[in-house]
Amino acid sequence: MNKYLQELRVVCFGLALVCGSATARDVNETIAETGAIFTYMLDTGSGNPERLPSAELSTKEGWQIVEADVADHAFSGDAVLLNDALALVLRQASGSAELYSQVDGVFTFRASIGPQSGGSDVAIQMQEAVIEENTPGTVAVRATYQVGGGEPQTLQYRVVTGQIFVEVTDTAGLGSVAVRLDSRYLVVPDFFANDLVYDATDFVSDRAGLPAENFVIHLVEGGDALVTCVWKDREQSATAIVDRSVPSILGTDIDIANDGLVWVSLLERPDVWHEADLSAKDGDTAIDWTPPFPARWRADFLSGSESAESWNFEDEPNPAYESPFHGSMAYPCWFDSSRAFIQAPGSSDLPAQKAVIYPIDRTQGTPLNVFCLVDIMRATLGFGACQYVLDLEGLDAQSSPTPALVMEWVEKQFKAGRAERSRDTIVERLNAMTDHVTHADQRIKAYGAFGRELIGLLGDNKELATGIGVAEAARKMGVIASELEQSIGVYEAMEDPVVATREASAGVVAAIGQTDGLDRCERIAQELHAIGEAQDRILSEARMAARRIAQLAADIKNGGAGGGPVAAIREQASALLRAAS
Amino acid sequence: MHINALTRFAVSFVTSTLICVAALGQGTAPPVLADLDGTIVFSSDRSGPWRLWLIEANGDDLRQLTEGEDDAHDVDPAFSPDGATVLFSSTRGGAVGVWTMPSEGGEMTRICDGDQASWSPDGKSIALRRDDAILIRDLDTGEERTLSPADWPTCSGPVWSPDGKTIAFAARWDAGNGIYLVPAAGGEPQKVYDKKGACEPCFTPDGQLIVYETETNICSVNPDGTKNKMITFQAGVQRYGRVSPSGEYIVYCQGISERGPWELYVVRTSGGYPVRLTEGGSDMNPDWKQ
Repeated sequence: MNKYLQELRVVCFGLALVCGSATARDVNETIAETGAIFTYMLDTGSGNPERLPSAELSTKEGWQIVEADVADHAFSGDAVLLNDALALVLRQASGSAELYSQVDGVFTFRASIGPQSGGSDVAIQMQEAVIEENTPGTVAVRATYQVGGGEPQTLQYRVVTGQIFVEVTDTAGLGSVAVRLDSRYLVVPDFFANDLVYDATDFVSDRAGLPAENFVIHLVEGGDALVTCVWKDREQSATAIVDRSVPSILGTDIDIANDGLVWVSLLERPDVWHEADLSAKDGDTAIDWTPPFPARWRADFLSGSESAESWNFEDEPNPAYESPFHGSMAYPCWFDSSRAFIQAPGSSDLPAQKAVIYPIDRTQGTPLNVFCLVDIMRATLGFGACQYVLDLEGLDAQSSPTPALVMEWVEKQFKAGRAERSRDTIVERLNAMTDHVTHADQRIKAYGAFGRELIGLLGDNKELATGIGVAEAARKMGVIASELEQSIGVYEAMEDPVVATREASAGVVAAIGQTDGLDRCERIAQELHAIGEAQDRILSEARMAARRIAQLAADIKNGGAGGGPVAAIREQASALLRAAS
Repeated sequence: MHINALTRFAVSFVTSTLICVAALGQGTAPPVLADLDGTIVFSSDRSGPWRLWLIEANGDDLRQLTEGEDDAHDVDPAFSPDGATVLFSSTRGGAVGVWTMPSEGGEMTRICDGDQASWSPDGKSIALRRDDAILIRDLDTGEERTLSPADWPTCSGPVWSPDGKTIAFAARWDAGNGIYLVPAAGGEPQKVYDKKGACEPCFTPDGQLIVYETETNICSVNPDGTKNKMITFQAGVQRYGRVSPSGEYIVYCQGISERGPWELYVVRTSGGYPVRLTEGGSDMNPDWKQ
């Protein structure tokens, strides 16, 4: 539509509301009376050939609410699923659903979500929309699409009261979900180690497999929106869709076969993510960005590859930092009176050129209606970051407690004067902690052995070093394997964590009943915290490295190159990842 | 006026109008603290060990109810039906036990081993948890009987229905938690709901709804398992909802994560935006009397 005609249409809708259009007032007043947070199923009355302008979503001119519990409604127009955070529009003329954010009554289009049959076919149009759920708590529509010349595909879209995501299921179990948007960066987050941060130039093909197990975050152009894709099963694969000719990241395809579930969440706030240029800072650490809300903000420092160095902002100015790996160093990012400061981390071999900042977790001051990444994980997968990572590595927090959890409890016993009374339980928990550290140590060593073997294989195999369609990916594998070997080398140079944990545990037991028992316990707890922290970080890094290597091998194999050695690398990396759980 | 400016004006006007219209809706507006009646008892670590505290539902008069040794912790308070007595769990004296005390302070009495106790509507009995089983204890005679089947795994959080005929409780299986109803006179438990870690049930005063918690939110469900609905939907974690005597509101704990720290919030039982009641420390296990 002509831009000015569209704007005129917007004005007309606005004036219609001002003049008191009965229908518009009916819909918005009904929503206001019932409660904006609840979910609504709306019918636009007539089909729209083009994407709806934002103002039309605000006015809802000519729309009607499909009453709660009515499931046999035949849509005369387009279907709209609405809550207080987002709107999802299923147009008859569109092959995908259109996702809008909603903040203070203003709607902004951010992404489309539709079927992707696995090839290059693009959905043409929706054949049918059927209501599956229609209550104040949940609205869901099953949409059937004609995809190319093939079989129709069916997706179910579900919106829940107060949540910032759309749940997508493929009831026919056929293909994958295509999320399309205007993305500046794509982040594969890692809660304890470093994120991967891709821009469009980091990809070597227009469809690139991602080493993501359950999440990717799209940092939407403009800095005001984050679109996070979450999937239930880490066997589901995710593929970045890129147009390298622009270059631009167009979205992600996520495998949804075999009852796969996908959630697409949308967080809209001004400056919710920020890109800081570090190349011309000349020692000036202040940046021109203020966090839009209190949260745990993460800075990903980028120095030329997708592998970022990730640091969380601290709330004290220029904090001192003692790294288990890098020793004493200047901390790279902090807030001072809500101003943000940043400096390239001295631990990097290559100086970071820029940093990307986004909210990873909440703090006590985070508004209740702001969902950070960990909130989204909790609301979709049902648990927080710590349990997620431990589960991935077969380290269930209930049966094999971490040093942090165990020592927190043991310190409480000493502080409360209950240590002697609780001696047996303390010993039991310390033993469980030692088992946990031993298991993590074995996992880290298995990753280390894989990295060393891979370096040997890549060095010995000329086809991998020079083959067409192979060499670049093999070179990347070599870099990742070297980084892995380096990290694990630092870990192996530390005092043996298992021996240190056994000795520390014996020290705690010996401190029971002593006058300085609490002091000794607190001192030992610090050592054990450092061991746990180092293992968490190395395990996360090693796991990410194995995922990246498996993905690169899969990409080579999908391109028809590489042969036996690449298949073996992929199988070995996948087996290593599977062996964890 | 240039068309862009006109557009911006129109959109701005429409938006402002909508916000005003939305603001008028009371159905989901946060409760107004000043309008709330009654007293809330809760456990808090704001003074160090876990202690019982009281606060008026309108946010006034925060006060500490229990004191004690550093290794004594008091949690899970519940007002008696007449509001005069508080039942609670405590580590006083070593073993975890069920205790009572006057609700405005006074002598504490140990009832028995166990925890997570709740009052029968007539105030003559309590339901409690001991060794992962649900029991009923007659307060006069001390007679006890076990309600949960012997071969059931971890059971917790028993509460009475307002008519005194039924006990709701949670049981934890390998597949996850579920909420069950069992006749107070004894019988086979019936499942109400067993998805998303459902536990910590609580009846509304009319007995028409069971309020419970999932891994992340406070929800409600009819006792027959139908009409399941989210009441809270905020980010972070919402736990341990308890209904006001009027049935209109729910007080619950809001945490940053599964491990807290927790603050008390109040929301309408019909759902909507909440209002914060407490801050500072970690506040849990609220109960509300008129």
